[in-house]
Amino acid sequence: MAARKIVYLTPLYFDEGSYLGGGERFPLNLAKGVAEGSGGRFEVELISFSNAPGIRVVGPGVTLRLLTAAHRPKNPLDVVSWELPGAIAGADLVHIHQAYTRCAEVGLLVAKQQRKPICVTDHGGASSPLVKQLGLLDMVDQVIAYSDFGASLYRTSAPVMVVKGGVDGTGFTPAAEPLVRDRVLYVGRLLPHKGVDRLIEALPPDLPLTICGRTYHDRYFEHLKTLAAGKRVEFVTDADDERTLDLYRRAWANVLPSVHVDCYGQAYEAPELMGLTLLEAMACGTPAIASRVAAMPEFIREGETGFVFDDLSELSGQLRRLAEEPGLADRLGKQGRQAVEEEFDYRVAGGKLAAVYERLIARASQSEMAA
Amino acid sequence: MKILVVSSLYPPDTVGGYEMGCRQAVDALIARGHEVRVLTTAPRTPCASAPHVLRSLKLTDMWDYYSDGLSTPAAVRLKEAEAFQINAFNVHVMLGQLGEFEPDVVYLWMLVGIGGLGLLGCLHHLRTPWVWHLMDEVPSKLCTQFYRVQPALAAEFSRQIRGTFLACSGQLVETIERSGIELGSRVEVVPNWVVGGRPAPRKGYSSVGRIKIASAAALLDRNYDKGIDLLIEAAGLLREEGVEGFTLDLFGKATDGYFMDLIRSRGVGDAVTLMGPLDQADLIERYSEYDVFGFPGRTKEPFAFAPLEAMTRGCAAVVNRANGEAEWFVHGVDCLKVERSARGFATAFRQLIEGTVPLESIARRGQAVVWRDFQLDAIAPRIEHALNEAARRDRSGAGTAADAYRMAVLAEKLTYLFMQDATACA
Repeated sequence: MAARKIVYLTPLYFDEGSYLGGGERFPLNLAKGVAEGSGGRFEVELISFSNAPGIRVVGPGVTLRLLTAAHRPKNPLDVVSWELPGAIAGADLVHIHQAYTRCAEVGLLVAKQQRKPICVTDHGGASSPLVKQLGLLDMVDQVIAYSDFGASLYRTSAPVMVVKGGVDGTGFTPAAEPLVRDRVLYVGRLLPHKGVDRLIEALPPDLPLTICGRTYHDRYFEHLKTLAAGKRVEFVTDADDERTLDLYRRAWANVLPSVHVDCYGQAYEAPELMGLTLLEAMACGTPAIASRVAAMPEFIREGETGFVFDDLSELSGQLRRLAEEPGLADRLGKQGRQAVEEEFDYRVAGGKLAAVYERLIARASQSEMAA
Repeated sequence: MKILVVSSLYPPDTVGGYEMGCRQAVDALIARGHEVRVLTTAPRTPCASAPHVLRSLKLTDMWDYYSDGLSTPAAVRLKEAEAFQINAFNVHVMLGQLGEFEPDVVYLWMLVGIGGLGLLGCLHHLRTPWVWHLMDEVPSKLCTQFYRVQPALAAEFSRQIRGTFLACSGQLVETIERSGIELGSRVEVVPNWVVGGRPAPRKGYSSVGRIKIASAAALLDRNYDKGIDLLIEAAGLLREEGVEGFTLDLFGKATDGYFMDLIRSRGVGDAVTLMGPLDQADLIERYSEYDVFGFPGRTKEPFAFAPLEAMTRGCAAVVNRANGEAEWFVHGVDCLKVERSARGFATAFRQLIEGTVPLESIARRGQAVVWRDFQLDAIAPRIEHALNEAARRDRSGAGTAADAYRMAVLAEKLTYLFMQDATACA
């Protein structure tokens, strides 16, 4: 039987030409996971938008199709294309990523009108209120969250299920030969809700910290540099995948200190729906540390694969302990890698998603056959 | 059958033959024993309605040229989107009727002015069977944005909008499909028709050298592009050639002085007369006073009722050979087909005036053909058959009314936002 075709619609994609963040990397990981985890029963086409339209293979069973954007929106999440209806016409199922965007609204309308089974996943980006205002998620066949916390945020009569994980456990691996761990690490975008300022504050003066991520907020970046003065803090704002991988492998811990209220008083309902960087570190055999915020604690087994902190003094203690207690970081890192392989690897998540897709496609096929 | 008819306009609120034809078809179906409910728009001016006519849709008036002329480009675009693509209010009203009346089939007519694409999308979602009677390029209109057919909309129309189409001419089907819309396999060409009783045989015609020509349109306005100016120009050409033996009476409402000015400038004021509008029935009876009915129509008129009506009263029809009605008649036998130009009509008129083509035999043969083949009584069974077949279609897998309405609201909001974006970028 020919492979079923799943379309992933995502306004942004993980590429040099697009944004960088978990919300962009994650759909690609899941696409690979579905293609590999389903044993070839499914192929996935990621549909996104660009000024340079085209189609290319990005992995076994996974293609990236870039449509011509109809216009240049103020918010990149609002990008749409006249080519979208034609692009999804051949799909057996449409999975819409970034639920609360104009892109998702158009995708929902087109896919529903074409009678496609529809899955939707929120990745935390939001640019338009219509999905919530009009209760549009009630029209979809399956909402898929990747954390219990994320699932709790949906207000819909549509069924919601949780498929945790989705990290690339093939690309992110421990070093073949053990490396000397010599730093605390942060990996992620440099944005206020990430709470990087709190990490610098909690950092014991004698421990080195590498902050790896692109800057999106000039004022916040200046604030971080000011806080880092006099401490052993290094900023890496242009790391490629290879450098990031090396940093993960050399760290005592990778810390994600995201906050519900940032240093400017701005509140965030869902600062982290998962925290992909925690799982990437674990996949590399490095312990993960997270604030007890949003979904992050769901992915850390306290004292086994990392730590969760409630205040900065607790974080300071965890960092010092990992840096100074012989073998602790290696032991937690090993257990973290095992957790990834068993629970959070993209192929594991992809296999679970493939089962969902199979059920929905079968149901839709029965309905069409009856018609 | 229970038949829900949907039409943006319905008599007495009309702009042309399309709506008149709708009422005639409705009356014929009722006469054949069907339960028919008509869903149309609130009238532009107060009017009485029969109990089976519900005037609860909202009309976005695309025939209000005065107001449009004063509107900003952004307002015109938004209005077009509401008229052609989506009006969630109208989807809601139609859903209410589908739920309450529970028709076996929906019989669609003129859908411009009520967000027709959204109504079709709604029927598609609900798998409600429908038959769409086409007497104009409405499918192309519904896919039009910024004065051109949007290819993506046309492609989606072609992919999704599947029902039965009754088209008044092959030319109309070709014109629609040339715009990028595929109507699919369920297309039947059903000609326009005439109604009423056959009049007493005509006594005679004007003598050679002195003929009476008529023409008519609901609205003579030049924007409506019925080619009335070509007839006046033709009269001017005849005068230039020294041909005197004719009069040309033009029936219909003129909204400005354009045609009067044209008549004066061509020096044909003694031969060409603007007669003003007449009630439809009176107009048809009036045709028996004329020898010839000239009808250029639009550049490609799908199938005008007016020439048929004039032919029932024994007028020899001179029509644009590209018109849909021309498909059904034989040139020189039961009508004259000419190029849509002043010269084309002037030449035909001259031949009739001078008797080089037999006016009376063409007129009498045309009259006989119309009464034989184009009576609604003869055509109604074909319409009924199409409705019956559609009504038997399986509705399994139908979506819900709630989702259909939610999609309509979403589509309306998105369309509004995109129009705003497009206008801002323009």
